[in-house]
Amino acid sequence: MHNYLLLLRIRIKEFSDPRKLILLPMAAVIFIAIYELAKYLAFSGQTSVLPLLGYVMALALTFITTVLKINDMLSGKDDSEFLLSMPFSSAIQVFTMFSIMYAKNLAYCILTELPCLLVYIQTEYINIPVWIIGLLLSSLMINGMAVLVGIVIILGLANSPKKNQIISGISLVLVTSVIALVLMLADRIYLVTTGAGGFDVSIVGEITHYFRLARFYQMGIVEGEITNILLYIFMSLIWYGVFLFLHTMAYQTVITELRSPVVYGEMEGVKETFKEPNKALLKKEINQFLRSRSYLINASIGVILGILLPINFIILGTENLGMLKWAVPVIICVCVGLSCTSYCAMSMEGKRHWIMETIPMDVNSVIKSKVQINLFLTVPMSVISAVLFAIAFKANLIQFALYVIVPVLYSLLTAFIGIRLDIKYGSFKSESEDIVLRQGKPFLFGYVAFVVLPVIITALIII
Amino acid sequence: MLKIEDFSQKYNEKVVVKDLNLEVMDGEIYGFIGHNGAGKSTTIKSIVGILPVETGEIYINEMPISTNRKACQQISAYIPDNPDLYEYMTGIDYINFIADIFKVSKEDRVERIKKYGDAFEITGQLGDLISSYSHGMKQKVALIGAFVHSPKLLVLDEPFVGLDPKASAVLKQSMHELCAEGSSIFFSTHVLETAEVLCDRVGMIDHGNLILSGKVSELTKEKTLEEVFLENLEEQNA
Repeated sequence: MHNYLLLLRIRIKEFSDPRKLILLPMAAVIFIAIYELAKYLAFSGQTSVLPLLGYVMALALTFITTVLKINDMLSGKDDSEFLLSMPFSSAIQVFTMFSIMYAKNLAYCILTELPCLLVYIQTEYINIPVWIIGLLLSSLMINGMAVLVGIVIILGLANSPKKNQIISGISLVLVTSVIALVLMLADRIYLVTTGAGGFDVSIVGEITHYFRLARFYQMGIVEGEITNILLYIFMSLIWYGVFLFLHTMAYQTVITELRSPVVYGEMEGVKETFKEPNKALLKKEINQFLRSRSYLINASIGVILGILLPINFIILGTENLGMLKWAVPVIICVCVGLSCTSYCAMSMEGKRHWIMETIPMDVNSVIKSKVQINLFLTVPMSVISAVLFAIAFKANLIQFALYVIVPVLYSLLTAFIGIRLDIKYGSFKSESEDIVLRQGKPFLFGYVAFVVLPVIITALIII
Repeated sequence: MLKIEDFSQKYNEKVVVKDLNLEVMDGEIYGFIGHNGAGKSTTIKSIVGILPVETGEIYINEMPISTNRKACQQISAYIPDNPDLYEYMTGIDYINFIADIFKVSKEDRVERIKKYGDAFEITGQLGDLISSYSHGMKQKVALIGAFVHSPKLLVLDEPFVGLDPKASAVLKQSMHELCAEGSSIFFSTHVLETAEVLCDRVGMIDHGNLILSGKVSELTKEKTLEEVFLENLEEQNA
């Protein structure tokens, strides 16, 4: 216990970075958005779905964030090998690591489930202590599943030369699947609340029919059936306990496999693939982006949404969504904001910034290569998204032109402003890519602002 | 090749280098000696363009770095004391990247990569990811990246730290060969024995001030470099 608390204190101190305070306003915005969604559903007569909806959103958020951080979590911190040589048992190290992860996931669960509960209890009854138990256990099973799958994949690919690329690809597929499922759920909610689809089954029935885990939650935590409460508690704890046990047993192997050098053998040979220094710079930027899982997934969420959303509307049909027709440029601009990479592109150099600062290249050439990556993502996505939305909403020529021009211009604007923000406020001293991606002024005034700004401007125009 | 005139540098209003004047001739190895925090790395970072020159001037091949930064960097190479490289690249990717930036022809890079790769005994690992390298291996790759474009001025910050004895010997040999071709080398160290054996001239810096500069052969006529350094330090502090 003493060693566990010692190690936990070290890990908690790592989170005392004041830059993390920037996440609080973001959390507040998400909380308010979910609360408003819950109120809309309650107004539409779908109050019964609220606790379950909060639970499902918590699972989705937990799953996505676990996938994003899976390699870092499994390979441990930089001190993992040092700790292995100390009288800290593997169990202590694993338990500490997952205590921190649990605390983070609990924060996500509170963020999604609490606003739904606050609306729900205005008109319905739920046993609060039981709900709290459900909240405390929400993330366990999905988190354990995600990490176990991750262990299998990462160990299976340990000696593959393309390990990082394959894992990034798998992460992208998983994130895309979760986003697609969330959109499908949103469609169901829309069809049931508007009666547009003529459904007479409840959303709760739909979710619990397809998602067995949710059934235990609904019948136990929400409806108060004692058997299901006990089953839910038992399965969550046993599953997580088994997962922790397996990870503890495999901990040393996992650390060793992930930290052992992967030997490809002879080098492929000297290639003169690019004579032009600017092209060499661009190639280096592309490789950095594609081979950094966090960087790739962080930007890809916007691209995936930008493509899946209009496809979703094409499938759903837009007969009753006429008012959204003029909001399409805003929607695409939000996706452009989510796909921004330039706000952290310079900071991503990290401790390797000496290379960029000492090669005979203009600063503008370096900046250009980083902005190009941003534009390679956002401009094609904007155009494809615009075309798909135009099909979904049967847009006329003027509308289509707006769908294309506004987001493309926004892409250019965010790419250039983002890099300027990073040059002014960024830091080469950050210890990990996650810190670079999601903290600091460039994140708040760049990434977050780029996502929120289209909505604010549109609201102001409407008002 | 390298000339530093009246150079001063401040960090947060604290003067870390004061009125530095020194010169490195063509074909010369110049050792820049000083204790930790003396101002060695600050001087080096100003030479290679990482820190702006605000007071005084630094000339590389008679070009002032403050106005000809790119041209100066085109003919120079720099290795920091702890060379962090792109972990997602293989060793050969990194060397090729540097060679592309410096427009090294295929023939030259093939010849130099083979030469230095074999000399540092790292050719077989150049196809591996840099993330799998030890500190010493990263240093070797960084060094090959510097030698591949045959710089006129090679600037090294504590280059021998982390290198095994064989690699140290190879580096010393390579430095001599580069100087024989007319290039110059400016490197910092706090290991006086290395400077005494390797350098043509040395400069000693203490708390930002150059307290001693001259030919090694003249400075060590009757004493070791260590004795000379300690004597000068005592005089400074008196």
